[in-house]
Amino acid sequence: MKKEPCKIVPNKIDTLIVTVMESSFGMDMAQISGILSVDQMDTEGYDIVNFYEKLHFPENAVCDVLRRGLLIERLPHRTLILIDDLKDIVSIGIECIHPVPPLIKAVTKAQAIWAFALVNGKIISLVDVYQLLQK
Amino acid sequence: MNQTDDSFSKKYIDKTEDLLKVARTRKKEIIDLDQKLAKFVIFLMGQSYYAFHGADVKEIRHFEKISFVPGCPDYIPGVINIRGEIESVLDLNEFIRGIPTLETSKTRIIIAEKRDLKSGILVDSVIDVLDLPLNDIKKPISTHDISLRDYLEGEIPYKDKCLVLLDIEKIFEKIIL
Repeated sequence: MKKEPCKIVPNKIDTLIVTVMESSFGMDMAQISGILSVDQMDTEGYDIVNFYEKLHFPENAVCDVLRRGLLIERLPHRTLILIDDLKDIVSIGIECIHPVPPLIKAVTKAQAIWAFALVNGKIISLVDVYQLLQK
Repeated sequence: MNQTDDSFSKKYIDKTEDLLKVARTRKKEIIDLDQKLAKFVIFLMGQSYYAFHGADVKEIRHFEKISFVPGCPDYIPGVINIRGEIESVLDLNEFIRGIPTLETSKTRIIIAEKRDLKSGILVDSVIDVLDLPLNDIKKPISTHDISLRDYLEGEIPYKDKCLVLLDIEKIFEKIIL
């Protein structure tokens, strides 16, 4: 009998937390190749993407101060996601991760938000960076 | 018939009429104990009174911070944490009347659940939770605002007002479908 390959299911996700307009968003560190500040950014050879635009923030809520860039390398594409600032890097256990409520799942344009996490009682929207970059 | 008989007859007739009056009044006060009662949650949106079936309401909470979720329509301001569970919040004012609910000390979040769908529903204030006869639910009148018609279940007299009974399932379906 052929044995199924053993799947390793991580029970914790190392998550980069960014704060935007008092809301917190988390991204899997495994999807992020690097973090740059504005003065370090060499944009040559990278596609530039604005986090706000990709997540469909309302226009009046967009902050103009973009201080950091997240490097995403998924060859052949190299992308720089512009964000305003970082907050923390935390390890989130799967027991703290909750599915997107059905009403939100049905209406949101931000399909890259795949779940919500509760960290110290605070709600964090978990964003799949690869899905965020899909057109 | 002499005068004494006339006087007796008049007295008798007056007495009978008085008794009939009392009986008619009492008849109005009689409550049918067999009629089925149901619980309703009565709330305010703008100047109008609305109601949900109490069976669909799990909890009524004070206003709390709603975490913004981008990409949602204005009638879904975000999510809240209810004892370790994440639930969406629907602004019913915005959804039905196109006017966002203003946060005051009376603002409440009604946690409603129907057929596996659960959400917080933001309303201006909750007025009452009480039992009313199911027979009191009348068909909704056609003069209601067009924005309401898809979610109307009926109307219920309440004090000197008329409650608009909303169907939570129809509201959820409208969003999901």
